[in-house]
Amino acid sequence: MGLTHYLVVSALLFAIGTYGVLTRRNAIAVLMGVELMLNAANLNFLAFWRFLHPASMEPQVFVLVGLTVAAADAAIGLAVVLNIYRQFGVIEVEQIDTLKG
Amino acid sequence: MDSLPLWLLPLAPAFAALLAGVLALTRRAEKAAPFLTIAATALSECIALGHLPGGASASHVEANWLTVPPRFQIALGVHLDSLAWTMAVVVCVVSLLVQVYSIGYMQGENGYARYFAYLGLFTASMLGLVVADNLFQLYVCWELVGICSYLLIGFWWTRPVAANAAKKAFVVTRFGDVGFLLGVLLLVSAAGSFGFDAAAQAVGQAQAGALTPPLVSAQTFLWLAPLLLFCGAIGKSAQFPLHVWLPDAMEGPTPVSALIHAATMVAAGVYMVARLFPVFAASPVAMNTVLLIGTITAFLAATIALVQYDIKKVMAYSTVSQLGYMMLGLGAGGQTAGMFHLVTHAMFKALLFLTAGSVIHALHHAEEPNDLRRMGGLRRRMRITASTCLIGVLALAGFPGLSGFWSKDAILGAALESGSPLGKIALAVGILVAALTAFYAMRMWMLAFAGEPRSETAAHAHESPLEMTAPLVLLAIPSVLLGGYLHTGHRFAAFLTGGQAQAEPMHGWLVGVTSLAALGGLALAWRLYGTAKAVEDPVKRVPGYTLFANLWYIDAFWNAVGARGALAVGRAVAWFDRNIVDGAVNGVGALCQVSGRELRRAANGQAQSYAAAFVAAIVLAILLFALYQTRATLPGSAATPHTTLKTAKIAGY
Repeated sequence: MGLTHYLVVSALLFAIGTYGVLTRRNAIAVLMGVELMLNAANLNFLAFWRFLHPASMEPQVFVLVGLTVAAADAAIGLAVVLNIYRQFGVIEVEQIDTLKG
Repeated sequence: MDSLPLWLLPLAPAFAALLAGVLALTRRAEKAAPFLTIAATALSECIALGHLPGGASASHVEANWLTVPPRFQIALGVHLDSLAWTMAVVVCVVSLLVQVYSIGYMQGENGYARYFAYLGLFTASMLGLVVADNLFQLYVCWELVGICSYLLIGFWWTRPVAANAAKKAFVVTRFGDVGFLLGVLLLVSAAGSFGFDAAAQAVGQAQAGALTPPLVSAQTFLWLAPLLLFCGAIGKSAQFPLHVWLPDAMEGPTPVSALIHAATMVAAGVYMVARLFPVFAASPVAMNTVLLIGTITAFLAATIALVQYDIKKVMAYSTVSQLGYMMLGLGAGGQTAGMFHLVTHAMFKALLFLTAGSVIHALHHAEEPNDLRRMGGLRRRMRITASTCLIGVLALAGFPGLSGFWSKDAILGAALESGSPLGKIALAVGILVAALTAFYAMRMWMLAFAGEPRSETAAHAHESPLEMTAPLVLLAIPSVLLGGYLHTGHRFAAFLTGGQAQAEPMHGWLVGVTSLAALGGLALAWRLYGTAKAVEDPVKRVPGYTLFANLWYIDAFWNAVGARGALAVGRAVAWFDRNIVDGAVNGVGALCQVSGRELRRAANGQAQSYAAAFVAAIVLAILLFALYQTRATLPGSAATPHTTLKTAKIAGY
């Protein structure tokens, strides 16, 4: 198992996450796609740390921060979705189009 | 009068015009305006008379107007040599008498003070023109008299005919002025100075091959410069083919016609040619052109004058014809002959116009006060006008002994002396024109003054007041005597050339022939219009009547070609402006609108489509970055875009 394998997995995770964000109709599923993308990024970080700079501690710190952000993201995202549901009565994203100029 | 400063000569009427203009604007004491301008003109007259140049000397005063380092100067000033003196005196005399006459003629008109302000401005500009010693001042004043002419032709601007005539005069002369300006610039750029002397010197050097003028070769320069200058004279002096404005200019007040369109301004072209005579004389081409244009103009205008029924139109075409005569004289090499005719013509043509004004003034209640067909029999009711007009007619016709006789003879003598084939043709045409002139002048007099009244108003006409008849009498005197006086002992020629004039021999047979032509024309008109109570005008039987009555179709030609051509060009430009220029401007606006409308569709409010755009943009950015990296790092070798991976391999993984 070398660096390349980790990177491939990470890229796949990111791609799946992106695909989910762009195509899912359910807002919860979109949030799940975002979580996948964040985890792909974290995996990338850890792979580079492990194979290129094992002596350094900074990447681990980055990843910890990233995890925290992901948790906050999920919490806020779910809160937003909940409010959207209260406001519009739906959570299908294509039915929510008030975000236009 | 030597104590009076010379520079007041053109400036006194200018000040007076300014004051009269203030009166006109404030509408106060309008009656005082004529006295201001008349006093100023009289002052100018006195100054001119006080500075009689003797021999080749000249009075001179100038102020430097503009200096362009290192040595280029433009001066404004007064240069009074014999030629300028002659013109200045003519201008002052005619202007003075016309202004006195106008007090009566313009009585009770709206814009009384404005009229005199314009006259004063004109007098100042014309004096500025004649006393110039450089092309710059000449050109400026040339345009100033043009604008005065415009203002005075359109004096009754509420009448559309007058307003249009003013515009026509201004636009038509502009055609010639373009050439004039180019000629001035060419001369100045060759001579390096605006002075007349410098221009003459430059031409002399070009003849000797010692001068390389800019833009053109010395040979071309020699004929091009005078021809361009002559374009100005063609416009200003109403020569064929630009003479069409002068007859229309008769829409102005009659005293204005007498001053500007008979005696002074229209003679400016003749004066300019005489003033720059060395420039013209250096080129046979230019001289022959002047001769030819003069001859054509003299003949055409005389034939048209034959068939006119408007008393002022007869005189207008007569003026055009006589100006052609002066050009003929100049072109034949007779500088003094041309100027001689200018001086005598100024007197008797001003007289004729003022008598016409007197008649029109008497008939001004009639529907068509200018129409000869409604006059007749006025000699009994307007004795002074009739007799002074007869003097003018005889002087114009060249009745032996009167002014016109001597100057006309001088011109024909010059044509004979020139000896060229063209000169001979000009001589023949000149004699023919003399006969025609005598005929139409007498015809006009007979129609107006002889016979029985042909309308109610004519039967009850009254003689004009003293301020109008006095100038008539005062102008009649030089019309009779001036020519003989100036001719005796070749006084005029000697005066103009500073005493070294070669005696121009009188040709006995020529005098006989011209006298016969004049007397024949007079007698024929006397007989045809004096005795016969013909219903039909005898001139209608003249071969070519239709041609003459239609003004040789020259006006029609200008309407068709000049006016329509200008309109066509104008339409093309307007089309370009509307469609191309406006199109570009409107197109930018429309493009913004369309692109805005189309781009708005992208903002559909779907967060996912925005996110898709982010992703697409990032992918595109990565691709471009990779492409750039490949090109920048390894030109020619296999592409290895991922530097990170390369580093990893080096590190051993």
